[in-house]
Amino acid sequence: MATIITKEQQEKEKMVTLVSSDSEKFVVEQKVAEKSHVIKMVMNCCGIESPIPVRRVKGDILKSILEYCEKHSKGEAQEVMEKWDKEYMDKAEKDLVFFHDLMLASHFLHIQELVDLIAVTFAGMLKMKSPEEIRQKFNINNDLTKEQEEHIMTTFGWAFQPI
Amino acid sequence: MDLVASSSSSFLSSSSNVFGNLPSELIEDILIKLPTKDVFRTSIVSRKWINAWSTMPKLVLDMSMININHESMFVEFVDRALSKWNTLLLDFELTMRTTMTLSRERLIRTWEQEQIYTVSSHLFSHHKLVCLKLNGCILTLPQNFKGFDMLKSLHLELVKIPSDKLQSLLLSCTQLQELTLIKLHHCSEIDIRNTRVKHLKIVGKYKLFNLENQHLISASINLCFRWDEADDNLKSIFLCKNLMHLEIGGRHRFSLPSLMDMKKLETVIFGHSFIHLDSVNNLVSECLHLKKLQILPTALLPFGNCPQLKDAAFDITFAYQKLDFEEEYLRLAHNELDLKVLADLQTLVSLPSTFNHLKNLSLHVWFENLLSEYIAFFFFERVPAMSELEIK
Repeated sequence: MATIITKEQQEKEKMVTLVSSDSEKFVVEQKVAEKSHVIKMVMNCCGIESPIPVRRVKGDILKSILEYCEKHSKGEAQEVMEKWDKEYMDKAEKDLVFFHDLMLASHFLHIQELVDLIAVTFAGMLKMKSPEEIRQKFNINNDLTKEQEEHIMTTFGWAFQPI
Repeated sequence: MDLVASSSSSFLSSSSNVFGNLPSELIEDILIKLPTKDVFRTSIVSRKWINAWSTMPKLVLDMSMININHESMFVEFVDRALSKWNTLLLDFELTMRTTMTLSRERLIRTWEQEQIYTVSSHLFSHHKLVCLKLNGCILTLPQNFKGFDMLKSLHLELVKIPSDKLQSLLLSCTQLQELTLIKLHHCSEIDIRNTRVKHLKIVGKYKLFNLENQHLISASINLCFRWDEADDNLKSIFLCKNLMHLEIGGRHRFSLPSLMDMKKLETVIFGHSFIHLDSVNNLVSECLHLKKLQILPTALLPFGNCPQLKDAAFDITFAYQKLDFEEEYLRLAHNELDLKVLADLQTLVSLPSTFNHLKNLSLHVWFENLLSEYIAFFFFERVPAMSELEIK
């Protein structure tokens, strides 16, 4: 993935280098990196000459995120984008670890469009599921006490009945 | 590749509460995208998720999703949520079942017997609300209500509220910009004169209006009134000098006053109303920024006056009504006119000159009526820049 690029070229196309937590390097156009509010702020204050470390994001995740940012910096027609987003999400949700890391990374890098897209997809996975099913599928510990659960059932009972 | 595989297996084998540890803001982002019923079910998976839910700034409660046997529980929950919601509530939406399932007669009876949910007075303690949407309930203002200082958008649908209370609600919400009032009960007057409403939508039957307001930019009005009351009822809307978009729904017959002062009008949609020919003349000659016009011509109009039109929709199924000659009309109705007669008729119906800017044209054509078809044909010829055409 690491692409060697001369300094002149970097100047010309306004490229920036991002380094993942596992030291993978990605060279992308500035406008692509700008999709992340966090990276944009870093570029604004520190410039784009030296590589920017993205310490909390692993290479495979950063690669996927940059793919998204690149597609979304082209200004293509809405229908094209919607189709692309759907395929992107279909692929991501197959691997829950990847999906989880992608969600965290997009939140951490502050790419609100992508956070929203992932949240909609995640919400879709949660629909029509009981709390227990959700806990199992997504590996969430139930830390409620028995009393709390009983209290919830009396308050939210209606939410558990079929229409 | 190895890296991905190894991280996968470590996730699956560990019981590390992975999704349970998502940041609260992210959990909110997810919950906010779920329908009412799923939100509650989902939010109780763990304490963190419950906390995330109860700090959401937006609360949407929709009774139509609930099993009918649990209505009282739901109502109790709405009250409880409004009184216990301890964070800043910015956006509140409540939809009660009534509006979905009841027939009109039953609905009116239900209203009269007041078997309708009265919104808890705790609603008024959430004084930082920005959006409020209520559907199918009774709204009673408390005596000491000071207004929602931050409210920008108010949507009341099938809500029972007396005129004077509505008036004080509107006046006390000084930031209000979007107002939607649909089929209100026990409310006969609507007066928005002293508000800063920019976008207005009114549907229903009311006795008195005053809509004169220089802040108003767009207005969509669909009202029921007697045919001879139209001019009076609609008078005040034509005093809104900054109006850019105007839509009047329903089937009315009215004439327009001089629109000299309404220079900003860009969109005019007059659904199925019959507008006096002189009025339409005024409209197209005085409103020079008109870009979109949807109108049912009582006659074909002198469109040469509005060459800047970009978007137009005309219903020409009624075109034949222009012909005063009974004989011709009868022949026309029987499709007996030949092309020559049609050509003569062209002068009669003053077909439009060329629209150089018109891109979107929608025509409602009566396909067994020659004149209607003929006029449609003439439109096609005169719209060189057309990119979208719809024919009904």
